[in-house]
Amino acid sequence: MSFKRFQSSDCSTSTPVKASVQRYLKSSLVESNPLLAPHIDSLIPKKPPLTAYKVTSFLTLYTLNSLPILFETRDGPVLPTLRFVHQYPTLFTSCRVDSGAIPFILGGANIMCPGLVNPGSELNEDYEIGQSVVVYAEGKEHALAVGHLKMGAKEIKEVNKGMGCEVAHFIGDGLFETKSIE
Amino acid sequence: MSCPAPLSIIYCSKCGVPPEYCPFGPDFQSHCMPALIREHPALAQQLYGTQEATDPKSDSDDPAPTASKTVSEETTNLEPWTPTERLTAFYNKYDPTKIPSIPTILTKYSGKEDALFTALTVKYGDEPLDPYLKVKYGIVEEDDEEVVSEGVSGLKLAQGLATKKVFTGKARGTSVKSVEKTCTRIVISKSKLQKKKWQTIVIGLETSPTIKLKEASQAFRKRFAGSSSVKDVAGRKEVIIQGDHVEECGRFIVEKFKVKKEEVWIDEDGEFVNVC
Repeated sequence: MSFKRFQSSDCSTSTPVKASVQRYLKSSLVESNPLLAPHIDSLIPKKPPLTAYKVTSFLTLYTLNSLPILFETRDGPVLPTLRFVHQYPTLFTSCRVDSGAIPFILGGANIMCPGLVNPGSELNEDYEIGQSVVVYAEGKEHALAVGHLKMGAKEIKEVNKGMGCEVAHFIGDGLFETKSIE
Repeated sequence: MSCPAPLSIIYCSKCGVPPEYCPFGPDFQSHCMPALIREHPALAQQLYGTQEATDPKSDSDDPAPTASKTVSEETTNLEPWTPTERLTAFYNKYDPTKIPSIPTILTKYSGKEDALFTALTVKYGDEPLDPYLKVKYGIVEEDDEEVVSEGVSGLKLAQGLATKKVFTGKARGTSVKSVEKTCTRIVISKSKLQKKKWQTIVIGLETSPTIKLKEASQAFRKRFAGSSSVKDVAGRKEVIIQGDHVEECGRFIVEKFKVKKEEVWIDEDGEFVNVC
């Protein structure tokens, strides 16, 4: 599941988001990104409301003034899009991968544990399984992917094998190329 | 609390990602790097540190151009090329007679080397690759063995060799690789069956994206009132039409299937001519 092959024409049925749903979106976003709490209301104002686009049956994309800013999968957390993250880089829960992982991520791969453990990477020990993270890279300024952890941070360090973070959206994928949706 | 202002992010004008991720894309050397140097020289300098050559400010206090000219240094040189070296390499490849006039050219274009090299690329073709960049970014030079319509030898046409290497363009990261893309090249020839009976053979119809072989064959049948069939010969498809319809078949293909004239060739006793 990712946006690798996404095109703006894949979106169907646009609906304005109900206030209650928008509250839920905000609260779940704040829950996974505590730093966002003081600013959330100015970043995602009540008016105009977000617009929700259905992408296939299990993916929803939320746009503000026709700019995609959030998306949600059936079983994953609410995640911000990368262009949104680039504008407000300090507000999101993040981790850092080592430089060796960059080309793989840019090709659409999920992040394997060693990429989050090797020297050059950073991962806060407190992160639980399912925590949504914005992925930065060693020696690079901008985020290159967003995703959620498939193991707890401690387990990642212990096991150091297999998939550690599922990447939902990365630089250069279909969603990133989609600058606005009409 | 007030909301922090959104940062304005510079994205590469060629591939759309933040410039620091450009080296992972397919067209870094040919597109992104020149664009970045042109549009955001300061950022290019900061990211790659290899742009002294094109940065006018650092040009004046760069004593290297005359010092690092010896051949031995050039081969093992792991510093980025100075403008002199770049230009020498360029003229070595394309026009060695111009080498003596290099200092004059450089003085004329001092501070504007960027424009100079852009113009040169337009005039002659791709710039020779700086070994420093090759080592640093693992860039591999592309072979320019691509064949364009003119200059195609008859043999190649007859064998239906019509592939060229292109980048997929979108892929980025580890999966970047070139793929074979077919160019349209249709060759029409005829062969004798009996004394006065001929058959027309059309090769390469499948290379055109707009043509479906069976439909084409059916259209030929209608047009020339005779049998027409699709035949598999050594992995290629041939359409064989009864009778001598070489000229007319060429015109028919161009009109009916919207194939460009330059892409349809007629075999006249071993000579290949474009359809008229």
